[in-house]
Amino acid sequence: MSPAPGKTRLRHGVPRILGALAFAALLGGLVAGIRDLPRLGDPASPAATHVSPRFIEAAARETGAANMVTAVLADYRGYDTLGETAVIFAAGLGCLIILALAAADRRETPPPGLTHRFGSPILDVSARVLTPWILMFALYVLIHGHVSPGGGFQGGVLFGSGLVVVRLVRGRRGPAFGPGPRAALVLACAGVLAFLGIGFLAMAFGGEFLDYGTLPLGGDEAHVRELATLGVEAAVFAAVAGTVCVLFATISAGVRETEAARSAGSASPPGSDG
Amino acid sequence: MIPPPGVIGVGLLAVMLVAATAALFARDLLVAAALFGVFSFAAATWFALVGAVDVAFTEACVGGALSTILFVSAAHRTRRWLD
Repeated sequence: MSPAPGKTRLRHGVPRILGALAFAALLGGLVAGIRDLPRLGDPASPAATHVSPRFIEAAARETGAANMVTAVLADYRGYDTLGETAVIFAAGLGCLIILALAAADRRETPPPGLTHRFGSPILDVSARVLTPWILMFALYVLIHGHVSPGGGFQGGVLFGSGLVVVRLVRGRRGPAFGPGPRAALVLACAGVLAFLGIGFLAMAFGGEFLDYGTLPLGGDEAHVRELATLGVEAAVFAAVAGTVCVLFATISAGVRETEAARSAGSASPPGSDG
Repeated sequence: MIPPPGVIGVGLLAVMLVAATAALFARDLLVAAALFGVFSFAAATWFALVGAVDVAFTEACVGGALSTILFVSAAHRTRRWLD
């Protein structure tokens, strides 16, 4: 890849060497910091001697989740997961804002030569056959996250990808499949709010924020925690799936107009039929 | 301590290295996206091999599927070829 001269220079005359120096300094600092970390897999590190045994011993008994990773992510470290969900949602919002603004800047209609979908029968049939299974597997991953790898995050990504892949193959002229951008945004918001709501519900029933043990769901505490964990995973699922749909919608709607307008003047090189 | 990677591990790491480098130099953006998918699935297999099954699953979903889909849809909106 050898970009044309003049395209690589940053604006306002900032020399590239400054960026390279800053990058080298940051990299050097990070590499130097590695020496202070405990060695990978060191059985004598604090995490291995204090934290992990506690989780390994008590996770199944306290939370009813055979998959310890789910117990840690959704219950013990629920606060972290809430933050991550909010970050993903915020990233989707940022993408939406930036790309929608870019699209609003250029409202030219795309030239008629560009087709906005992949027009192959193989892709079409593959999408038709695979998509129902992808969506069902996503729900399985969400529900079965207690006992097998997976959970709300992976399930949400799979579900969103399954919806998006149909749109990618069928294009805009195909049938409207899955939630539209607005509905997807509402779904993502609802997911984040549901996560927060479960946390506050726990507080309302006398527990700590995101400490599900006090929720009045019936049964012993481990069972209650299991149900609440499933609720949290479903909230993450909705947030992630909605964000994925929003991301795809902004990319396919926003960038299309800008890029199409930019490339309208120049002829495509031979072989670019996509 | 982590055990040495073994033949399969070394092979996977080599695939990741080659795919990542090739993706940098690919002039066709669709090829670059596909190579990035190859990188992600090799990384996911490697994670599963060393016992991090949940991480492997996430890498396969996010890196292998979702990122590739988003890259392809973005490349699809361009002229696809780097000049």
